[in-house]
Amino acid sequence: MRLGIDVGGTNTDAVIIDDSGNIKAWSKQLTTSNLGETIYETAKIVLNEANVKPESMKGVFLGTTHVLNELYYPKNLAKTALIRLTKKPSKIKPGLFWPSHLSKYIIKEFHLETKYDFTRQIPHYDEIDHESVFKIMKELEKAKVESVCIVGAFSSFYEDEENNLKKVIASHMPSLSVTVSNEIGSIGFLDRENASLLNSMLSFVMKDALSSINDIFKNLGLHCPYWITQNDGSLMKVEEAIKLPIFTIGSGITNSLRGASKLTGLKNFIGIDVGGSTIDIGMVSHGHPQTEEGPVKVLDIPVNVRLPKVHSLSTGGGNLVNTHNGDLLIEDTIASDITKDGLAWGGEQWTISDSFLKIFPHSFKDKHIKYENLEGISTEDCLKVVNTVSSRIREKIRQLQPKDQYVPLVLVGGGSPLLLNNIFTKFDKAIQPVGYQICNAVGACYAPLSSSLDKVFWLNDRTKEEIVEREKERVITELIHKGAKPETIKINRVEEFPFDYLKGEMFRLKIMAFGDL
Amino acid sequence: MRKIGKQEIEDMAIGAALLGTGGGGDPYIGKLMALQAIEEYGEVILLDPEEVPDDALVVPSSMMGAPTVMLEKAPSGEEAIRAFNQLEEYLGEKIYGTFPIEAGGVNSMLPFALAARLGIPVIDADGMGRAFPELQMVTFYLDGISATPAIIADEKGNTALLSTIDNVWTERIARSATIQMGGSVMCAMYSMTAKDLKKSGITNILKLEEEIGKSIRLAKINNVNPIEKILETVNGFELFKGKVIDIDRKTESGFAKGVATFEGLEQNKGENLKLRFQNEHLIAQTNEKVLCMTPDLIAVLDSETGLPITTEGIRYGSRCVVIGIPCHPKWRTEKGIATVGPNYFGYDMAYTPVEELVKKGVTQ
Repeated sequence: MRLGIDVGGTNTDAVIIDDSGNIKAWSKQLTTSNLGETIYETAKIVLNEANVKPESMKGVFLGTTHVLNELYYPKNLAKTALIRLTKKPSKIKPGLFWPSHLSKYIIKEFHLETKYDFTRQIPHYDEIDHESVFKIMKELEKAKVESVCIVGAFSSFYEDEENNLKKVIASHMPSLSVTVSNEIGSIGFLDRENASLLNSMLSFVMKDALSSINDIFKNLGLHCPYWITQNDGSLMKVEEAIKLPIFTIGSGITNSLRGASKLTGLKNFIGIDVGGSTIDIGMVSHGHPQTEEGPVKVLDIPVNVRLPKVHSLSTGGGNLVNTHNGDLLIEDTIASDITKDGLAWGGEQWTISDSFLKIFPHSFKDKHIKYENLEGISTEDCLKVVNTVSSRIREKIRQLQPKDQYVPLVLVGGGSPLLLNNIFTKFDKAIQPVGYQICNAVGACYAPLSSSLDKVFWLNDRTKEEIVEREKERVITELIHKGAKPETIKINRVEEFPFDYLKGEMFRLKIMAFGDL
Repeated sequence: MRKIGKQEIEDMAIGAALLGTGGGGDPYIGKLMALQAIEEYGEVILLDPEEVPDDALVVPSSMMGAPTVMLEKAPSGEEAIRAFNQLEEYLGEKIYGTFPIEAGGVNSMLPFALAARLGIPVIDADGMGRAFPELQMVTFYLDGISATPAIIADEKGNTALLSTIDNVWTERIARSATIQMGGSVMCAMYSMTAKDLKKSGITNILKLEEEIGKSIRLAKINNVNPIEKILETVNGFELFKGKVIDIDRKTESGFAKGVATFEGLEQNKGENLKLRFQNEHLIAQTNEKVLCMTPDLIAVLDSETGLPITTEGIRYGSRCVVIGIPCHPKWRTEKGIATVGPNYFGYDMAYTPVEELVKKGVTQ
């Protein structure tokens, strides 16, 4: 028996799935500002409904878009200082061309000279320059910095310098959270710095959301292991998620796609997840949600972390619609609870869902909807909204749809009935599986374990094959250590990248492996 | 004379990636350095070569080594200035303006970052009209212009002054020094008079680069086929439409050698294309015939957006259009073909211009 929980921006879903893959019970609750409480309440309902003993639960699988939402609508970001370890101060400003609502959280920048060099000799690590570090720490205190991000040139070769600096700062200022870039990404200084800075700013977000999780599960009588799903759809421990929140920003859609694959039995399709604040469109091939890395962008910021290959529209069912000087506007803001605030439900706010309901009545089987409430908004305007949203979706699908074969569309997410028989027809081969409302939670239950490596190696008298074999073994051992069944382990990818224009003896190696729990 | 601001840099960067023909290094880091410098010091003056006095001293600013490493070092921009200052000191003359040594890839952008900081103009010319891997592979070499005296500078503060018997030796010594200096250096070499640049350089190449980027950008806005617009802009030929079914990369002798295989789509259905590269794309051939060979340009474009794809960025399953562009006539001379033709890169075939190959092809 598995318990899957998905904490979305609007709703929190929970599902219990038995060992043969049947859904025993599910529940959907509104996400409140108190995440711990929301998780507790939703899990309690579903446990009661399934009438299963908590001790029969093998694992709890938690997915959340909480961290990504925080980047769109910051409420709890940390004031961050950047420490660059390079030979000379770089002229490129940190956070260059970032959206200003995020770059304003980079409040300080420091430079320390790196002892490292780009040569094949692994340098002897010298004493840390304590005097400079203490100066920096004084300034950190003065500026009331809440989080520190350390980015060293070459840290994908040598991690020591970043890690030692972290140790010194953490021992003197234990309340600060410190991100080191070698844990975030591989070679590519600026993209790694961007990802590390975002991670640093997000320090409080996961910590505040999950700090009480131990107690919550204990109170529910759940003593099984629990996991958080990450960007590539695989599992991570709660402690890891608190330290590396950036790795969870794309997990929502990955879970949704995996869930859609489980619920439909399809291995190749385009998944469309219609949520309250976004519509996400992604591709599943051979049963795996597609991911991509470098150069990928988060809110237009280039980062080198692996993310699901997904097109996101920032227009979900809950986005507000407004008229301004005769122009129709789809706003960035969303209704906190559409079934209370939406016009159709007797509320005051005109949302995208209301517009769809006006044009396509009875899309939702919800007896609380009163169509007379929609009389005040014009059909013409609603049609415009429907057309705008549909053409945006169709455009994204067109980009993903392979030219030589037609793959079906799978519609999931609470808002998907708005689209199903309205803008998509049978002709589009659009499918909406049973359980579409809780697809993310279902997908989380089936998340695999993963282990990956992305590092640069000097050959130093070894052959490339020796290094590849050794690192493959290391990745497999790590997976077994994490709890994967050895017979399920598959090396998904081994890629070698040479360094252009350099007749040196080094290469970059990427290995990715999955295994089932 | 024209002022170059941020939009022009953005457009040029896309054009630079296309002229990089798969290699040359991603212009991204160069673009950021140029944008940052323009933000701090204001727009850069771009001169047509004809606007520069004949006796003016002009020097290209470039990097050598692995662009990936350069990116990792997070360059301060001081290396390029130091190289220029030391060359001026050695020559006892002020440098009037700078220009890119190669219009393809990261090296197209670096002169703008330097020019903004030094307050000197950029001149619209280069020595390749594309990207090539070795530093004697410039049209200046064909006319006997010496690469040295040359200065190379690293981020640590080291500089080296080279004086060599010919430009192939400059390549050899500078390449070894680059590895010792940590994988990437900034160079000031091929100093010359503006008269020489007008005669031996490839002029108005930055203008072309900007037009390429602009046509891709506008195609997206106007919802028209970007590939057609690009082909018009560069006088190119569509060689093949297909999707990547295999990519085989090797690290042989330190170069990014490899072969990408495309399976034909639409009019090319049933055919396969093999694209051979060594940093840059060198040969495009189907089972029956060769479609394009170095020094003509081969670019791989995303079939949807028209954006150029580097050899490192080629992914299994990507849908692409491979295009061929005639190289500058300077490369089609005997010395030009000996320097950068198929034989130099180890392919046993006689150079045939792309426009002839497209018409009839060469049976292997």
